[in-house]
Amino acid sequence: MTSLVARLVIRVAGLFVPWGRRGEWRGEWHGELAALEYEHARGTTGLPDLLTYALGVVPHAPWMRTEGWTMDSMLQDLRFSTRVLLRSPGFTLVAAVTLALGIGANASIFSLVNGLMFRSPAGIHEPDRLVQIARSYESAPRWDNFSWPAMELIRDESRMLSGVAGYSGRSFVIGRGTETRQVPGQFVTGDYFAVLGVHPVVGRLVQPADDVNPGEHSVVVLSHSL
Amino acid sequence: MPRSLGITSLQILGAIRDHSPYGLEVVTRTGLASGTVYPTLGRLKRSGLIKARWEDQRAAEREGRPRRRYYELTAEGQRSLAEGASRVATLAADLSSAAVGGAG
Repeated sequence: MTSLVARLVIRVAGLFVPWGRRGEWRGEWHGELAALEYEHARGTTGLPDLLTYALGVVPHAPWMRTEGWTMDSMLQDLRFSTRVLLRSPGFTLVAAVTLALGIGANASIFSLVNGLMFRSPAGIHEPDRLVQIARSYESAPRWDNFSWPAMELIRDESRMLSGVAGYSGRSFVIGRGTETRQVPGQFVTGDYFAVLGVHPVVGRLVQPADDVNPGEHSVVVLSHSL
Repeated sequence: MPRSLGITSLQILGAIRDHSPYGLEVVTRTGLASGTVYPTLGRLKRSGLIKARWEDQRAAEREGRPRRRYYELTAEGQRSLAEGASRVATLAADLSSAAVGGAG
């Protein structure tokens, strides 16, 4: 079975070898494989595994194709391809439009997903050093926040984090009388903005001094969009 | 001036020097991966340091197996191997004395 797989690997990899040298290339590899099978049958020790050995074709086959490539030969290929494509302009046009649509759609989806899911929010200093700590559960795909004492414990005991800040998401109602609306917001600890490295455009942000005695005074930070 | 050969090329030239092996023998003698040995053999052949010859078809048929491709050093290959071996020996001596000096 291993022999069959090894021969199949050689056959498939051989497709990457230039046509004129493919027969010779396969001949050498089959010869090597036969020798290895013979030695294995004799029980010779210290030999590589048959399949591992055959996997050597993976770097060897592309090497055979790129060996001896020069700028001249590549330009020659380019001129030949251009002539072939110009000979059937209808096919070339359909192929180019198909490729353009495919690449365009993929690039748009990637930009959207990248912007929404992978990019950190703007304005955060050194976002690659920022981590979110939460509780996860083996039983269910769920994330939970920590309690206030647990957050304090992490902040006081952590030796590898330069700062720890906590937040809790809430909905707030703003406006008066019937002119009210709900907006999303957060309760945050005094060092929240310092940990994020965010600077205010106007006024000041919540500071550690605001976070000493609960309920002593209220501070609010408004986002630009609000 | 020709480019200095690396350790892998020297190992392979060394394995070919004493007798004319085929690829599998080079792999087992050097302990290198087959994916490293065959492209290196190709490069050495293109540089004219080794040459390859196919085994006689009838000899292989007599043993009931595909024919093998044997490699041997050219005169240029023997010179390059001697130069490379001398360079590696000098380097090894330098490193050894540096290690002794550093240990004290």
